[in-house]
Amino acid sequence: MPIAFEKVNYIYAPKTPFQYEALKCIDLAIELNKITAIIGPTGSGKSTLVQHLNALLVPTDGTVYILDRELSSNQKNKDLKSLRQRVGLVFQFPEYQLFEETILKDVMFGPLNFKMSEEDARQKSMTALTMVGLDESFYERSPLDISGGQKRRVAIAGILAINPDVLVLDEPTAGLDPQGAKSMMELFVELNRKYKKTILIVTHDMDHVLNYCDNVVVMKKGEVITHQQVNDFFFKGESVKEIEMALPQRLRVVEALREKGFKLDSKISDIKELANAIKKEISHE
Amino acid sequence: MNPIEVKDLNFSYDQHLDVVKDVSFTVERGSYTTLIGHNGSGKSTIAKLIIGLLEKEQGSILIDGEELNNETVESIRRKIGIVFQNPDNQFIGATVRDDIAFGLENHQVDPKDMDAIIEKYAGEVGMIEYMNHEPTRLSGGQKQRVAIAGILAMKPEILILDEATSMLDPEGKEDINSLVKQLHKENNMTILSITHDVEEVMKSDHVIVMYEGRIVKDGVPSKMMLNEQELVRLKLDAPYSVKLSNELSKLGIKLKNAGNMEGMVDELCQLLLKK
Repeated sequence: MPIAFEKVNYIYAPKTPFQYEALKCIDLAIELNKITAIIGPTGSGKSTLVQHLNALLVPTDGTVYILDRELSSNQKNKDLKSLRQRVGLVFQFPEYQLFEETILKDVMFGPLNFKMSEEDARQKSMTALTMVGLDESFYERSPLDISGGQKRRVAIAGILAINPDVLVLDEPTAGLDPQGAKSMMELFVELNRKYKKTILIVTHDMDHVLNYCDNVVVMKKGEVITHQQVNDFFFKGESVKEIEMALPQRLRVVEALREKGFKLDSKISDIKELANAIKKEISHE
Repeated sequence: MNPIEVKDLNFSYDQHLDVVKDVSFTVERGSYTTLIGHNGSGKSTIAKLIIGLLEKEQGSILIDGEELNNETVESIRRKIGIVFQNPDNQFIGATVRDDIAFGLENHQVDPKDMDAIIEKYAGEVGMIEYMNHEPTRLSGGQKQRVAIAGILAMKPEILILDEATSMLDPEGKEDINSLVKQLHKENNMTILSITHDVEEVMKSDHVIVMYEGRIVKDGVPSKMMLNEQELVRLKLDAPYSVKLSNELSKLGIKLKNAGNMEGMVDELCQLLLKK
């Protein structure tokens, strides 16, 4: 079963002065086993959208299909625990939800909550911590005494330890140092390629979209305005320009050089290729 | 007299782990200084020490020449505005309007002027439509906009930004950065920005680089950010222009303007025309 939104509306605080329509008639199908980026200006509904995937939010109208579940406002949405075991959601600033005495215990909380045995939970948690780049010297430390970026890794490990099929990450690299952000994105690619995880990433980093994602969903004012393959989005047609978002760095340089008379293919796939193409132009090969 | 002078600062959360080790630096008046470093290198800890949220173990912190201690902390905090990484930590008001008003009231702004100031800054950060919304119900990026408006409205002499725009979309980030720059110029505001954004670093006057609690580099970004391998070792990243210039250098094309994209594009263009 795919992941799909069918005519989904979501209204925050209905019938109050704070009423706010965050999602407007969303029709969207997310491909399984792919990495999908969700981008758009602040307040466009990205977080609201992804919080529907594990039934943290239930549509005001319409239906969300996820794996073998169907979620809508007019039916009782029972047994959400089994859904949440298969769809792991990592919030913005997940580090504020750490609470256990030690890092290892904190990561183990999820697996234990899903009735895994103590030993199994410990093993899974240690593996998850290794995946996010935290070695055993961290196990017995307090999650409150480490840096913001390290806390983020602990929080992500907490979800990985549950081993969900679908991993939903709301701005997972915001606030990480550049090497940390890079290794985090590489981890998601590995989880996708090696373990066939379906991954959704809410992000503002267009370089990450270009370099690591398969598909991209663009949101604006509660609506989905584009849903394409990443390569089509950046290199075919005008959609990337129409949405008025800053291009990834590589494409910005290519654009700037083209404006100055360089004949460069915008599809150049990495920095080495770009350097070679520039050299060719300069030496008129 | 410098707005921020830190000398031989040391701090640890517990005895085993020194978070800040022998840190000394100066932020010049009216400068835009960036503070960068890997996660856990001590950046946010330094910000918290400067505003007296954490108490130093050794060393001294001078703000406008005045030593930070229990007697001076209140008056020093009036000079410094800080925007934290997570804006949820600093909302007080029930609505966006109240929240911005709160800081102004604290600074004894004349109530007659208050509405105009609130609207000006809410407008500048693009949140005018949300004046009557609850801050806690806004999106992450919108919260950051409100937090920034609340601090800027008070026109602090010194502004500390702790990854204050990490959750904004690229356009939003640029809007906020140019607003900060404008206020920085108009009011000769001193800015210390903790960031992971290499492009912001390249546009700043001065950069301080931290690694494992110590300052390892301190100077002009166009000189400090050129060694790609060293930056990677420090768990950071070189600007894209530097990386491209390194690749070109391997192919025998040596450029002078590695630290600045526009300069590099111009230089390449001249090379193209020459032959």
